Amino acid sequence: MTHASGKPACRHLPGERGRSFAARKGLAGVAAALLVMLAVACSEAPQWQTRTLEPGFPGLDFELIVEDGETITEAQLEDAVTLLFFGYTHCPDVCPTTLARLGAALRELPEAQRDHVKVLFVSVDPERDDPQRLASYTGAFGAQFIGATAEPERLRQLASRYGSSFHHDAENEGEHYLVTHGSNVLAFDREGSARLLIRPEDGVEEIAHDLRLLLAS
Amino acid sequence: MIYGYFSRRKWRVAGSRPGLPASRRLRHWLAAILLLGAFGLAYAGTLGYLFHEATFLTQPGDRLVVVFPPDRPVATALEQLGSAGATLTGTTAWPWLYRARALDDGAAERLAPHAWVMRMPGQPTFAGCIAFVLNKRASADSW
Repeated sequence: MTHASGKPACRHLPGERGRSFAARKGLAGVAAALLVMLAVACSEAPQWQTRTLEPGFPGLDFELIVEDGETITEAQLEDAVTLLFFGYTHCPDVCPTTLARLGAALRELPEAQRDHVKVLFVSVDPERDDPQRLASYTGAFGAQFIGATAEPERLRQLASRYGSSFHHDAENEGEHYLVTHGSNVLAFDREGSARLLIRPEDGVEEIAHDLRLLLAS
Repeated sequence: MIYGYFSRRKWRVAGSRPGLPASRRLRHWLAAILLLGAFGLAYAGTLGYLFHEATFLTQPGDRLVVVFPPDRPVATALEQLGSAGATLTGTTAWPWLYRARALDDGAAERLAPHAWVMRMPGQPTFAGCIAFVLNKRASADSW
């Protein structure tokens, strides 16, 4: 298109056309990169609601004594999502609330899925937590709960393996004592790989959500 | 007048006062060093105590931020964390940075040879450290 004078309406300086083409190409490239990033972010597998663990985190590996006095190893929990928690039955606060929370999260799952989740409650107080006591304690929370313990040294090794620890406080007058221990739960997938760290601030819904994802993975 | 005095060229370059003889300049430096040394010695004990108190003397429940050397395997780092008397409370995107909780008085001190440990009593803020020291002093006074 030209003006009445016959001059072109818009004139490009030499090289300008090339530069604007290059700029457009650059913008298109950035837009494409953003789209790819968005697609990757959206398609990235599961959006966990509890804390995910690094791939180098130690997998499920233990040998403990269970409620009936028999030995249990990780092989017996194969094909189940395992929640590992260190505690003791005389615990006045953290243990019952944590186990109740896990129980509530399990009840959120369909019954068919629920059976594929096991909660391994490892007592760090083997002196008081004999198999019978463990059985009656864990039985109150559900069929998926397994109580287990071992000799103190083995328990220390197992706890250290997962970055945990426990500490027996001094006995009071009534010969009662408290055991200080961690309050997090470790979640292992069906292959026994550590996947999640469930913290006290994680709610029932979040735990149930992540258990569903773990079971589906 | 004052402006003229302080803006004189000879005051502008610290430590080089051409008006003073070398021996007098040396004496000024020595006096400054001695003064600083005396101050340091006078408060070394207090500062050392506070530093040790704020860094190592954990109380059960204190929060720790633990930084391992980046080449340390995750499994080893976790084991050292647990063996020292701490328990993992949080992980991050980096496998060398962890949050933990001290289970006894010496957890941070036992962990110190293996990792850089930062203690966070109460809320995880730097102010928490100061608050802890102040609280400690206040409670010591009340005894």
